[in-house]
Amino acid sequence: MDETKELKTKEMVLNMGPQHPSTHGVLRLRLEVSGETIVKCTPFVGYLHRGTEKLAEGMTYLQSIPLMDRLDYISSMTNDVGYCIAVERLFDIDPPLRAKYIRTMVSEMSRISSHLLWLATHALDIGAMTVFLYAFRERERLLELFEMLCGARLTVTYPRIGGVRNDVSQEFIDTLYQFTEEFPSKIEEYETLINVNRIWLKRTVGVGIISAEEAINYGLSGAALRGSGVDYDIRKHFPYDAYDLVRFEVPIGKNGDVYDRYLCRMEELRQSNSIVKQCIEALPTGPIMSSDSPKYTLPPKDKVLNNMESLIHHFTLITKGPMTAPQGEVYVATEVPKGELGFYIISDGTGKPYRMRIRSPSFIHVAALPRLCEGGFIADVVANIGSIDVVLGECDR
Amino acid sequence: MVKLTINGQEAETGRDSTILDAANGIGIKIPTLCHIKGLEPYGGCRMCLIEIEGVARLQTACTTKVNNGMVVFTETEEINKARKAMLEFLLINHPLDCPVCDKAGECLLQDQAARFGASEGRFAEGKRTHPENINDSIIVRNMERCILCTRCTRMCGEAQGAYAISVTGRGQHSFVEPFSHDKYNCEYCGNCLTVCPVGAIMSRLHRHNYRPWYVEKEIETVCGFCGVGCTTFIQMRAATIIRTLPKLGTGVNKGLLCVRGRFGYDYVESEGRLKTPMIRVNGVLEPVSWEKALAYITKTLKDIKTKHTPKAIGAIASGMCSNEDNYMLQKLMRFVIGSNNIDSTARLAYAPAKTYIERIFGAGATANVIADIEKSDGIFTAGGDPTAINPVLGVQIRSAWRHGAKVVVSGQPGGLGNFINYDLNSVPQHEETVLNTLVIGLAEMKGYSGKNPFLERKIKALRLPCEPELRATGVLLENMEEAIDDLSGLKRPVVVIGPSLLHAGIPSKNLFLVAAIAYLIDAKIYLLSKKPNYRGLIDMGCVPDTIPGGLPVRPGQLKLKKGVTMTVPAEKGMGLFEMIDGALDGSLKALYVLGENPVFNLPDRDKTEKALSALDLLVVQDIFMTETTRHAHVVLPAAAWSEKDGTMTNLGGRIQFLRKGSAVSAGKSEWRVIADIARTLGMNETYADSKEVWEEITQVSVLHSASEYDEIKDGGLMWPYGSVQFQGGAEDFIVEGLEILPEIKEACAAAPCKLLLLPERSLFHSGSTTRKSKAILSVSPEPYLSINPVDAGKLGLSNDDTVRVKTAKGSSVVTLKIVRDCPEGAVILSNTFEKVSFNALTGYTVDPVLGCMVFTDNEASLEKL
Repeated sequence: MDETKELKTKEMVLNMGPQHPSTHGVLRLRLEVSGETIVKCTPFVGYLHRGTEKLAEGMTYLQSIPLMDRLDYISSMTNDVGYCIAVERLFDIDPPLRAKYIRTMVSEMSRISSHLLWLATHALDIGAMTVFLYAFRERERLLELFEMLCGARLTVTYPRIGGVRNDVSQEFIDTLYQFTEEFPSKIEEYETLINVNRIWLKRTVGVGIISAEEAINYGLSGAALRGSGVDYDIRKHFPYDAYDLVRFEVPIGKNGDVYDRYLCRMEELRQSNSIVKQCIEALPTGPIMSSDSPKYTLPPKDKVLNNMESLIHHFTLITKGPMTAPQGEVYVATEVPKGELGFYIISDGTGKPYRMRIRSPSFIHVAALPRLCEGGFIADVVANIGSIDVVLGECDR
Repeated sequence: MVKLTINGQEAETGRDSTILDAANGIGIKIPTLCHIKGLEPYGGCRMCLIEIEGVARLQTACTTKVNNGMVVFTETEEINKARKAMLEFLLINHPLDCPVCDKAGECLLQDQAARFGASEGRFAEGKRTHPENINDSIIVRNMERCILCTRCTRMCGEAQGAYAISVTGRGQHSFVEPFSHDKYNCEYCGNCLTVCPVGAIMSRLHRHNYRPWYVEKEIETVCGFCGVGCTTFIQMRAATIIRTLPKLGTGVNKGLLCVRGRFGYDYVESEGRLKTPMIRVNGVLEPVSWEKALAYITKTLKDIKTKHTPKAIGAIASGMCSNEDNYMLQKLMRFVIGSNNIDSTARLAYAPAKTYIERIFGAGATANVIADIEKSDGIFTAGGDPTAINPVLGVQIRSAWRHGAKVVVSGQPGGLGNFINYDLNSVPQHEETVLNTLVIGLAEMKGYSGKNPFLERKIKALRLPCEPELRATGVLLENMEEAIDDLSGLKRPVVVIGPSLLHAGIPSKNLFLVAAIAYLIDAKIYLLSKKPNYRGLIDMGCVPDTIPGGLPVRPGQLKLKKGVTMTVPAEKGMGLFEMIDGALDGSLKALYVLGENPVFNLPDRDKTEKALSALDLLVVQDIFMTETTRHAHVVLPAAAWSEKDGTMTNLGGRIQFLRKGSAVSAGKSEWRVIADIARTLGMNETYADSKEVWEEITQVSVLHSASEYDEIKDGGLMWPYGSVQFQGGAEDFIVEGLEILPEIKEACAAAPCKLLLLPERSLFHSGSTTRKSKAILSVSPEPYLSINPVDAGKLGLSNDDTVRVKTAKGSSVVTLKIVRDCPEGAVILSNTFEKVSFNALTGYTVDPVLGCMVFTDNEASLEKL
């Protein structure tokens, strides 16, 4: 008798999440498995839905900035910058050069910090504990820099429509420069740990392959797209802030697997570090807030305290939004650590957006999870989740 | 019609309108600061500057009248530059107060500076300073913020007619100040703070308590203080009323409010609001559950009904409650218990006057649009000061006077004092002689139209007063002649009748005389109503002799809904005074008092108290503990004005929505409680909300049968509510003492032997609600006795003396105030406060013809303490 014929096998359903350490938040996957193989993977989102888009309709353009902190809370700076740029395009505001440089600089700091957290957790998910400790060591230095800059470590609310909240201090510049000097050697440390680690290679190479065409069709962006060999980076192709004034390269993968996406992000760490350094070196003097659009941008604080007109403009901008806002709509995309973060804003002429739609990379990346996971093993699900780098705050909004 | 072009758009408008009106008409907004609809154009702020083709300089849109073929531009560079410059000037002296100013967020100056102003000021010089004035208890002035738009002074003078404030000083030291300096000494209508575009004049009640964007709900409702029924917004934050505002430009009140409506709302949240039902156990009221309280009431009512027949049960309806509440009480009494014993304090004056006037002229004679007063060319008022009883109605009389209308006041002019051309203020009790003279004079001037033979016959029977009788009135003959002259020439006349007309002399004769004047000059008649829903409760059948809709009680079946009929009891019902007497002689055993305080509101307090304490069951449903609840066996909490949905009918017959701002603090509104009782006693109907009650009302009441619920929304439901059955004709009526005139008493030469004690009709107070309002109490905190300077001089009394006022019914100690407006030979006592009240010191008799009450025992003597 053939023993295997006696064993009755059937597919079973496995719920992964929403409380699971490796789903990077409250992502829930419904996995239909046949043995170790995943037959069907259905993501369920919405556990962190806070109605950000709807909330923004009831808030002035300025009041919405803290909401944007809470999209991808790992990298709040880039969200804020993206949002502010969208509003600036909507109202035709041009921030001063110094503000542009500062925003580029802090965006890249944020990118490094986000990538470090991704690296730490991604490695931890797959079983590499040490990287976590190393990566968090450097991330902590960045968070301290954010704190030095604006008082907050995570939800910074630092950019403003038309500029930034406050100027950078010399101490900040010095500490940051010190960091950029040291950071490349740290990247090497991480790479020494896992780049050619056998287990790491076994878990990542050839796992979750997605072709360039398919990646585009799925709407992937950021490193998840570039890992498949597509040369697309908004900073390069549709530059904003000071990105057209700095030199950097866009790393491209070949195979579209977890390992290539990992390599892309590791290289991005170096590129970002270089951008930060260039920004510090090229940082021009001048104002940090646009002054040629006074009906949309906040007046400087000393004016607010001494000048009636400025006080009124400050008060109404904060409480009612711009009173003379033109009607119109805008879509602005920026390159955040996760990919393409887009803001679609309709202004109906009041001080508040009529509608704001957020195109969040995480939401679109989660949609590609079934494609990456189906046919693979259960154990590879966490590798795939890590490699597309999702944050549920942004996914659910 | 005039045609003009504004910004390339064609506009068509009336000949008299301004460019601003024309632009608004086609949706082009022109910014203004000093302009406000309803007040005369001022052209002071220069924000509305516009360019007219062919005119060299910019013109103000608010003062420039339209002309055919005019070409106007409102948004050119030159205009924007001018506006920017004007705002820059205004902000030179404006303090940097936005962060601490309550107005910030709804401030016109702020909005327009943000919209049209420069982004940065260029003036480095110091600002003018002026201390904030917080000496007044409810209005705070911060004149540093004033932009001298004069909206407040124009409002105070032109609309309110109070002339209490004015711009004082010159140049940059111009400030708006009351003539009484520190504190206001005015009617406290607060209309100046409604119109202030900046934070210069503000209410102290909610000072620093909120920001405009904290307002969570804004509910359009009707004011619950008097019969005018002003359209009011109440702004809520959670369950708290932040403030009440008038609806600008529209509604019954056209953006005006009075002191009660604007500042009196805080009684809703005052301490002492009843929260739970209470039953008297061993002489003490103890809190119980609703179930227990209602079970006790129904059981006792059932017992009394079986033991003493339904006749022994009565109810007093409330002028403070909605139509639905009163209808439900009426239903409980008439259709469920089977007794016609239902009445209210409208019996004191409003209901008898309404019935009598409608008998003379036909139903609906007293239902007239209040706004017509302002458009009228002559107003005759008698029987009380409209500006105190129904302030916003009174304000319309002032406004009419300002537009050229003749205002003739019989008796005390009170708040109309500055708006009359001659004095018809007679010695108390001789008003009748003056009215008599006016009627005869008018009849001679105008002749008889023959439309109402009953009335004409009675006018012809009147006797012309003789010389000494006329002299005794204290009114000059030429004044009377002038009044006759003025009244006879009117085209759109109005007659306003107050309650005092019915409380002295022969009520039917007084009322007949005023009706005769109204008939001869063909005037619209308005009955002043102290409480907001007197008219509504009469329409709801809360009177012993008519069923809902105003048809007389005829025993039989009444259709309620499809297939459901109700029986109207045959037994004649008792009125308010009969019920008091009935309780005393034992024929009335149970009384349900809804939102009323008969012990306080009826004269002869001892009698009322004795009567109520003789009852087997007294149920009082009210929002506070009152003088009446002291005798109650069961006390039920009620919903305040801002806590319930329903409808109210104002004195002009307009039905309006009363809307709920917050949940009832006690959990149930009145009609629900009464419906619960009725269901236990055998009623089958259930109601989901007040709309269903209203729908039943339209089934039962012929008057309301053709009305649409949705029409109520914009105050569009006016008498006769789409129904045509009610154009009733005139009937014959009884007048007592047609030929009798008040006898002439010898005046006491040395000291007034007896002074007539009269009740105060207070502008500030309306009974048990306002005396719980801290804001109102802060401007009118104490009872006082007013006396004429002449009488005071004779008695050797001076201001602020403490006196003992003594009548046959009792005595009280009170502070004296010398008031010029007080008639000679009379003293006026507050009728609001618990400790000293007019009603406690007087008695009454019931007039046999009208059924209203006439004050007796009100001859008082004063003794200085």
